[in-house]
Amino acid sequence: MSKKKARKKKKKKDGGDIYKLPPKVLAKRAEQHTEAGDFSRAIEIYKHLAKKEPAKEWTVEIKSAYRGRVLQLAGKGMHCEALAIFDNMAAISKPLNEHSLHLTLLLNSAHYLKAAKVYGEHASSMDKENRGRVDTFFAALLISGNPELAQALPVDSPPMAHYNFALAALDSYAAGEYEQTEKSLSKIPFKSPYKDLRFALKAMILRTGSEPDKAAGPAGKVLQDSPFYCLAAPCALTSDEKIIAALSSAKGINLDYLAGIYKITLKTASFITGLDKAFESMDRLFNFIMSHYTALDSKIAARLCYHLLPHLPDKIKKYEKTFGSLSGFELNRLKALNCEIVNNNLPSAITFWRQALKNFEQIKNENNNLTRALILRHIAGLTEKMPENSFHDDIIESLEQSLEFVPDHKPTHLKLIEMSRNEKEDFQHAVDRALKVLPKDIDILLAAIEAAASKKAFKKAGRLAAILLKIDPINTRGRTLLINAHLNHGRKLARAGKLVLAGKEFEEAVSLDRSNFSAGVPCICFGMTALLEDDNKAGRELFKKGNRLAGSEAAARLAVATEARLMQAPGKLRKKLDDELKALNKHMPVQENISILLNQAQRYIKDNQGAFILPALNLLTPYLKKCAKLGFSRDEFQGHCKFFHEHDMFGPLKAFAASAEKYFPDAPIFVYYRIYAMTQGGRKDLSEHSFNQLDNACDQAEAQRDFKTMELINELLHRDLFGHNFSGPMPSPGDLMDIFNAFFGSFQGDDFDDENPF
Amino acid sequence: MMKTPFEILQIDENTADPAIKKAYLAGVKKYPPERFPSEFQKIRAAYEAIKTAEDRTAFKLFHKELPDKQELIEMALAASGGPDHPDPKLIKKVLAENIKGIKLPVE
Repeated sequence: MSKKKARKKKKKKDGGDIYKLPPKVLAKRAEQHTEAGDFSRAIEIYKHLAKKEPAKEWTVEIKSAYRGRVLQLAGKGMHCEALAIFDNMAAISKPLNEHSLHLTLLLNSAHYLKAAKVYGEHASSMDKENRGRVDTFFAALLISGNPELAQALPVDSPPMAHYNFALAALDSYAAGEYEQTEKSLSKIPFKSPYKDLRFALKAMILRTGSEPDKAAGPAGKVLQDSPFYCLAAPCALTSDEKIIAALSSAKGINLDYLAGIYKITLKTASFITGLDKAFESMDRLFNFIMSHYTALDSKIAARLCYHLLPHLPDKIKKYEKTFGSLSGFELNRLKALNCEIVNNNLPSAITFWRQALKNFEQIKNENNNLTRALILRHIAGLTEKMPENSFHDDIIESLEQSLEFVPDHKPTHLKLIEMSRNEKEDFQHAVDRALKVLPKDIDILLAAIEAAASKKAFKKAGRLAAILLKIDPINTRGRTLLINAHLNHGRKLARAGKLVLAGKEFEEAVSLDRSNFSAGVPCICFGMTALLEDDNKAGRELFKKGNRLAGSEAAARLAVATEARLMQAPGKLRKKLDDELKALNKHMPVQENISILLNQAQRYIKDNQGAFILPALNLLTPYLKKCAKLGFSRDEFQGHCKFFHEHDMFGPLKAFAASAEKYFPDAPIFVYYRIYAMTQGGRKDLSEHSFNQLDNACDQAEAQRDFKTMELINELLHRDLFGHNFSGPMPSPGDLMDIFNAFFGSFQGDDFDDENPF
Repeated sequence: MMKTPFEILQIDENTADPAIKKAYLAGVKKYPPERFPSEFQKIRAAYEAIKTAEDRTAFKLFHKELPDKQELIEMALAASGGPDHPDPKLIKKVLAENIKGIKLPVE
């Protein structure tokens, strides 16, 4: 709608010819317009009234309406329009006495010379706050280069008083004479309108000088409404993120200034601001760096592009054209990395790495050896990651090849030792090879002791353990291995009838076991040799000592019966010691003894003596069953059941599981253990009742997210279904389907969520 | 990581182990962890990456990290070779340009 039409409309709205109304009514109407902020209408009415009745009161009212309109327009940012209205007001109302408003309007509408004139005539009448703002504005105008303004402003006015110091400071800053700048700035007092310039220049000195991090201090003192803020604000930015944001949003002269403050070229500025888009794809980033490489150090640009090449092998030619050709080794390396990163094509990666290795064959120096060893180890690592599990020998081969170049690389030796652990000869070979180059390494020594012990070379194991303890006297594992080496060697001698020598070995083990790592076993072994030598008194004395160290009589008697087996004691003696062990079945067990007893058994099992201790432990079945009736915590019950489960000790397992079920009816694992024991690990058929119990336990385990128990139950059910006949009534076809669903649903992932381990 | 560990520690690629350690300690002295945790972490990671001859060779062989935008910017800022400070004419122009946008409060 055009202005004319709008005006016409307004006139109509006011009732057409309002000027026919009486003056009083009109005055009331104008007052209402003023109050409503419709100053234009108010001015119109007042003008009419002033013409009709040129009384003074109308002049006052009309001035007020004009003033309102001026402020209204200025508030909308229409400073030129506001100034025009102000001029109209000045023409009607004289003297106006609105110098401060006039000056502000002149400055805001860029009539600086007129403003300087008004300032020169009326500055003294302005209030302090306004005066300060106007002074700073003039100061900024002067510094920005307005020579006519310098002529127009009074020489003694604040903007002129320190103008020369400010200009000198700026010139010396531009000349890089920071000390001189500081001197000039020091002549500018705190209350000067150049105060903000002083802070800005200080910040600029710090920013472009040696302490850019400190620039934020003085820069922060320049407020946002100050004309010098544009100089100070960029100095306050310390994080690159903010600098980039500032660079991205700046244009024209402001971008030039930012580049100057951050000491970068415009090319760099455009490089930085273009990076966001360039990072959208690797291809784009490569091209961006290539096209902007003059913005960076060319070496850096080359390196950046080089780092992108494994991801962009098709850019290799472009790279070589710009930065020079790459060696055969580099090309193969890049291709290998590309196969690893982008395609996950490990066989091809290995092929390229092997080709890269060939590039080294001609050159021989120490560095190349290291490179070759590293590549071979890397190849071994890649081979290990390949999905097919048939590259065991390839891994070993690559690792062994790497040792040809760097023979003393401990992790490679340890890896080879670990990988060959299942093959006694290979294990020994790996250990011997490692020991040759790393004879004093504790981890290698420990592996060597294990290797010797596994080959029953206990003397060698003892010698190696002694070396280890010389290097590291507080090494617990080494000490335990040494004690075990003496014990095993002693047992071997005892079996061969060399009881005196065996006794010496056990005596040595006793003296080494000051911290009782072996829970009295060395004493018991020593006592056993005494018994075998028919020195009953000494033997029994040592057993007593062993008993004390074992912590429980049951554990000690179990060790005695086991040692009798290990040392192949005569049948009569063995029977006597077994009877002594069995006598415990009449005793009332104590809660703690069960843990000590099972720990003793575990110790023997760990030392590969399970075949000797388990038959002895089975003699204690009635004792263990009695133990089951004692109260234990859930973890204790579970730990004990786990032990019996692992070693198929069905009697104690059933007793412990049944007892645990009473204490912890919500734990499905105990249902499983009980039924497992009842069916002797699935060897016996599962009754329908047991089947239902297991089924419920499985549901309960699923609800509890106890996947381990679910796995065990499914395994038992699976064993029953395929290993034996189902002894219950023949299920209907529908039930059979349910059974199959129960068994296989989990495998197909029908019944369980994504976290199902099956 | 875009800046190489050598650049972070400000050393040559052929520097030996003791000199690398010295450079690392100098870096830690300049950026103690309690005051400059992120700078310290960068220095520490750089040192760990090239501590031994083996580490250095492995870094050169297998390093395949993508460029990091932030560090790329840092490098651009560091490598620019721009002016030492803004020109006074430029400062005056910036001031003149920005004054146009400043309006004093009208009361």
